[in-house]
Amino acid sequence: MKAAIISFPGTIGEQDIQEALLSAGFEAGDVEILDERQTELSTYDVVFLPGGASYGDSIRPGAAAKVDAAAEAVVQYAATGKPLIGIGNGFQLLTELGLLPGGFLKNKTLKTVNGLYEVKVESSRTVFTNQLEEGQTLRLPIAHKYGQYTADEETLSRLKENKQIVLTYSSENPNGSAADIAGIANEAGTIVGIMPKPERAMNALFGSVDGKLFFQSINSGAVEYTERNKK
Amino acid sequence: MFKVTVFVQYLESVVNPDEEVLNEAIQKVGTEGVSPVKIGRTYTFHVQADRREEADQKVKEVAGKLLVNPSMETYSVEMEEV
Repeated sequence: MKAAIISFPGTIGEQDIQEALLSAGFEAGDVEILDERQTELSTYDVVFLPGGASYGDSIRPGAAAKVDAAAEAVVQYAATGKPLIGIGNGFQLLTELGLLPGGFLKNKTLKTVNGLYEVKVESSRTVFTNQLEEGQTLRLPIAHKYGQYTADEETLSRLKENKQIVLTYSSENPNGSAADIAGIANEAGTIVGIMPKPERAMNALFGSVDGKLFFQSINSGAVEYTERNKK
Repeated sequence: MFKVTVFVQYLESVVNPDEEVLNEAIQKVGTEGVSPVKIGRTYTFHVQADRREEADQKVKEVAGKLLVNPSMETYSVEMEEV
């Protein structure tokens, strides 16, 4: 499997995701970090949009990045049904591109939140959570200012009905997100957006290794999803 | 040539966390008779076009593709020929 990680000016998480994929068994040569000028992603089997603050969150988080060539390439790639994962700012970018519904506001308390939070796995039927157990609680790091996921009532109902909610904050909602949403997916489970950062929970030194199973899900489950959703 | 101002605001249904702080702060300023304040963003620019319809089209394109997120925001436009 070949993985592409798109790095925009201001993106921060690309190296952590690269490291996480290597620990999950990817070969060094099969994980590439590409920049915002990338026009072609069809040769990759999984694409990541990392966290950070692309373009300093100007206009809206993810808004300036969505008009880059790489973002257009991501839209074309997504249409083929292959796995696409957005973490933090990457999730924000997926909503700006309309690949996932909803949007983001500043955290309700207006505080930038940073720390380990308890999240619950709501769905294991995605390319990024298939090695996790539904109902399982994990501790994952979050670090964001615009983490308040918001969507209209109709969208929230639809997400609930179709089991598109992937992660929720379970003991404390740090940003006031609607329905305690910490991550969602498209109906097929091939496009996933989450605010917590599993790539920062790969080493006991950082307080949690709960991130490992997310990246193992890529290796094990992503191919199955790709075959099932091939267009 | 048209001078354009695009006013962007959150939809009614969206609660902007900054507004609560702003309105508490306005209370502290103490000026009488000031209603709650809504926060928006303003973009001003010029558009090269021969006709208003053409200018309209260009504004819609820029607003739709970048300035406004329709799932959370709404906008209005003021335009004058210069």
